[in-house]
Amino acid sequence: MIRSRSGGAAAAVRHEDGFLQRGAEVTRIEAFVDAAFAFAITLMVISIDEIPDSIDALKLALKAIPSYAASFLLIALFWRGHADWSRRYGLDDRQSQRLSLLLVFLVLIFIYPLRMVFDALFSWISSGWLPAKFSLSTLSDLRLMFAVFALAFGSMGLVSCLLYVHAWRLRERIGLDALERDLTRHAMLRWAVIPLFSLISLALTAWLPMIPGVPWSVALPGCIFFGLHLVQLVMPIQHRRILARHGPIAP
Amino acid sequence: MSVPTAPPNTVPTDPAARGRVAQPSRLEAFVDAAFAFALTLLVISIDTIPESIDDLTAALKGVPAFALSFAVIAMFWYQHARWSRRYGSDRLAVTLLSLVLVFLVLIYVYPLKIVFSAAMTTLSGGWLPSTTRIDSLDDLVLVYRIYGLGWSAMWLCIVGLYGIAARSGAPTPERAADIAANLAVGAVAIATGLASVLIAGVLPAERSWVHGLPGIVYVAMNLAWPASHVAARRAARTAAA
Repeated sequence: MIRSRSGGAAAAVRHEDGFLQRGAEVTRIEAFVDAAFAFAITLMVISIDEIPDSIDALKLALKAIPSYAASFLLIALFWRGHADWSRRYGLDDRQSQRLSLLLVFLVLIFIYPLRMVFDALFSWISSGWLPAKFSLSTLSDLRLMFAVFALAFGSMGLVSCLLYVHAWRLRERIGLDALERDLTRHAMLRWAVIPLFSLISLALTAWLPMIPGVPWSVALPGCIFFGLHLVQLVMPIQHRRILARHGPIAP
Repeated sequence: MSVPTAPPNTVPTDPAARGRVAQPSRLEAFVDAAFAFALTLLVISIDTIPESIDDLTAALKGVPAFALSFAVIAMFWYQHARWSRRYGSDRLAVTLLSLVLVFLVLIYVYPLKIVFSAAMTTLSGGWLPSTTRIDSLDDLVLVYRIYGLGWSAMWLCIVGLYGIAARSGAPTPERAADIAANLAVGAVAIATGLASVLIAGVLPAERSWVHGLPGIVYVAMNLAWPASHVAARRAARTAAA
């Protein structure tokens, strides 16, 4: 069943990102996804252990902020992606519900591994000043950690991409116009980049260590993800180009 | 070139979608949050962030059991969401049944995880870890009983919701068919859960595959499909007559 939640063309307002508002109301699945993401983020904090009982414990807890912030940002990225997708297409069919539940499932699996990876990253960058609760002693430990991160990040990116693919398949029934079709294709590509980078990272992980005698080269499967920042710089430019090609947005 | 105006959005095509409360009520938002919280309680390692790679490996081995428990809880959430999309109301009886469902799901979360992690351990020959040790037949029977009773009680809530829908609103053939189909699914589910509880009570003392029988009984849920089709056809015929 395809249910569109806007009151027809008269009520449709174009958002600044070029899409018409279709999902103004919050559906059950959106409420569910929101609550699950919110709890997932909460789990990362409360399980740091308990309220610090000394100033030293407080200092230690504060040093965990960079890694918490990074995990928070990553989770928020996927939540925001889902929220944008909901607003753009207003879909509430079974396939949308299935993909949304899958996203929640993956977030709940990967919340702790993500946190571990960021702990390790910040501990490595700060040469141990920022604490990591665990130590990576062997190469296979490092391999596993990179592989888990790539799987986590990549699979969530893939599900977000599939949400857009699903909207693209239903473009006629949703009633996407020419601009929205271009933007939907663009969004598909934008999310598809994440699983792509994850696959490259997984491949690099299998070939560790890359360059004998260069110790930092073992971090390459993780560092490859910084390349995503470059992509994220290019993507908005392309987005603006698509908007410009279709002329000014009618109010 | 200016932006073309969008064609009118599609009108709901599903006849059953008509008459739904337009926005989720407070009750629905509450149910959603409670189910989402129940899922986070299942998360692979609730108490601490894994502190070593071994912890992480152990935690990731919990994923299959997590996936199955997730599926069951999501299924009950979906049943509630589907019901309220079609017949949602804020009547007192609806509120009470929904709250009972939330109450049950929060009780049911941990038994669910125990059942599935024990099943995964058995099926994988011990490679996948179990959160709880089931040492004796008495323990096993207790787990089956809790699971079966929880399952049946939650389905009873869903059946109750459809029962309320059946007694209100205009009895059109399609509405009657949908309600009858869902009542049939609920009846099969409750019967399956109770059958499992009964079989668990008469298990022989010596260890054998028979000890898995109360779990295998849930295969009977496959009967729900044909049963719902038969019930829907009958109800539509009666309503049309």
